[in-house]
Amino acid sequence: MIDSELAGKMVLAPLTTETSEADIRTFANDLEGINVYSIIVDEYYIQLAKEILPGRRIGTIVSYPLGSLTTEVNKKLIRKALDYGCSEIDYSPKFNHFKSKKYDLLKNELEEVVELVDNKLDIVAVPQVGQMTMAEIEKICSLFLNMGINIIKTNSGLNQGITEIEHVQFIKRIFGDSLEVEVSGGVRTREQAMAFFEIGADRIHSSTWKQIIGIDKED
Amino acid sequence: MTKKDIARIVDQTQLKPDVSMDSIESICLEARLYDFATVAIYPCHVPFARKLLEGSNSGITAAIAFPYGAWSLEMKEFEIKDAIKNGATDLDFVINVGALKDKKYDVLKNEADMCRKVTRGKILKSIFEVCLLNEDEIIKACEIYAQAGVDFVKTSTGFLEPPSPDVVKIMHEVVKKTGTQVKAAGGIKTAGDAKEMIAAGATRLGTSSGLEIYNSWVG
Repeated sequence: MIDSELAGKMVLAPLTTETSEADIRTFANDLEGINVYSIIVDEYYIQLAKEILPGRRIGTIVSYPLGSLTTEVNKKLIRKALDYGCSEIDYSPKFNHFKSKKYDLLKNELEEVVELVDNKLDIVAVPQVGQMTMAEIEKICSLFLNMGINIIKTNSGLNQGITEIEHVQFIKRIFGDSLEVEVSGGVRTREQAMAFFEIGADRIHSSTWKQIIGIDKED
Repeated sequence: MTKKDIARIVDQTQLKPDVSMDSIESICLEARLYDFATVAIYPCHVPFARKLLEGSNSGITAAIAFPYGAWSLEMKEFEIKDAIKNGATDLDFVINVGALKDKKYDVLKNEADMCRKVTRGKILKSIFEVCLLNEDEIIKACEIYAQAGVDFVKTSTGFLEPPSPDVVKIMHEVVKKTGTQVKAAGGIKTAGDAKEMIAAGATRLGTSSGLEIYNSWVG
């Protein structure tokens, strides 16, 4: 039986190199009658997703998962997201600037991103907790909040680490409800998802969403 | 092949997302010192590398549409032009693998033609992520991108499974009578690995171990 309440807290992101139009269409069919929080697709598939998933929250990715694009390219992607009427962007800041303690450069881009978005969609920033110390997590989340970004997605893909319960406990203890937390990276089962919700996580990203909400049987 | 020769076919690669600016500086200085063909880096680092490599024989490879490749022509064109403006001499772009899976060859042909058109005078390399493809798909991709006149067909981004020399042989067989060459990338750690790829037909190597390969090279 499908757990509708849990489904409403799931963010789905069919983001792989080989994701095809056929895959997106299959994905949309699988979602019929199921209300998830939102669906994140690559820029190439935004228009298709908007067409075949009408009325849903559709988002896209900006500088994700690596935080490696120039600010100009990030802004171009954001303009496209705004033109398409996306509900949110998953945005990776420049991790190299952060790790090099070049906080001014990091802030400059955050400022430009926030200004361009102008509250027209949600910015979900990625602190990449799997690659950070707890002190670094506190620092980068503080930077996000100071810039007016109050939603984070803990990790991006491509083997950049997993999110542990301790990460979310720490973030919630420091920032409380001022920061919405989407957990991503390593959540495979319903039991794991529930453990994160119990400590205050707001949403879960997982490729095994069908198992988590009860469509597929768990292994 | 001498040490100098091997250096001239190596794209010394640094694509870790959280790499510090010191690390980018380090590979640029190595490239300048040993005459590597290029440094292969993210677009956000290109302006920094340009200053460090001014007056040297080494170029700058920008990783375009990394890592998923699922961008519209408009986005790929924008990022390529942005990277060239910032100083990139080589453009390594991830092809639309999803379109290849869907057998939408017109999408790929248009992409190949556009990328070639906006990179005249620069080195263009199309990345297939061969570990996701079957042999027929690899051959088809080689045909399409060689026909458009890309300088290199390239095996992989380095984030997923590394290519085998056998795959490089297949790619070489398809393109050998055209002006297009083969770049092998991913998993090339030693001089022995490099020799295997060269024997299979690769004339450019993407590796983060360029210095180790150079130092241990016996011609």
